[in-house]
Amino acid sequence: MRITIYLLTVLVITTLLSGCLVIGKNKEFQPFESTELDQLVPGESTATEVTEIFGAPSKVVELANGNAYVYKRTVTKGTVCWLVLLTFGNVEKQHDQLVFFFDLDDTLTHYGLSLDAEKAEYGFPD
Amino acid sequence: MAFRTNSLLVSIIVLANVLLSGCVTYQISKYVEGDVVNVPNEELEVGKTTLEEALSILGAPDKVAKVGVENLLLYERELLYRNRIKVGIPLSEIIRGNLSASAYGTLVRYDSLALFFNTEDILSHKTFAEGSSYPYLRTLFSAQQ
Repeated sequence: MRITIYLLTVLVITTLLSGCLVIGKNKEFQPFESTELDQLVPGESTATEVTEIFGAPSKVVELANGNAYVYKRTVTKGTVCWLVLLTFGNVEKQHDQLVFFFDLDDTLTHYGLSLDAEKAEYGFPD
Repeated sequence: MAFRTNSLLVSIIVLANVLLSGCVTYQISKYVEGDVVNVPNEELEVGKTTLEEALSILGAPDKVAKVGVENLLLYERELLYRNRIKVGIPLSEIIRGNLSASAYGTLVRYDSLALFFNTEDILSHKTFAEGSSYPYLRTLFSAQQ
């Protein structure tokens, strides 16, 4: 009888805990370096200089008083855990983004930088 | 006799495991895009704050757009939650077709800070919506669209 209970317990536990875990990472890469921002001077640098340093932007947006060049790279981290009765899935996507603002003469007026891609984490839904 | 009963029990459990695994599953999914949106209200003053100041406080916006004669800077975080229950009986080994039923609820919420700048690059108005403050189940089943 004791062996039966032991066997049943082992079977139930192994059944309920059987499953698998998958982790994955996606990267949408753009080779820009934020340290190269030192080479740019708002009010002086031009759109041509920006593209020479940072390459082609991910997106160009027409604004009311000029244009914006957007450089974006993304890191996505995903975690999926399958158990017999329960499945957990968690995906986190974070960006590094650099946006340059130009006036109508294509002179750099402002820029903004956000470095959040490193913040993407593996985990479970909370 | 005892050995036969034990064997029978174990066989039934093994069989039930094989047949029923995957029959009832509950899935919990979460998707997050973007960092937490902080709103420094005291530092963002309509009619005073410049584009340069906003960029130095908040960093690069997630979206930039032209809205009429103004420019929109949008800082956004997307949160998706999905719960799904699936019940199915794999009858395909016995008859054609399977019996299955599933139900799911997906809720996508956004924390969005929208800053509008005039052509002089001065903040003309701002708005913040904190979608993540709405609870999952109550929001999902509320009559409000």
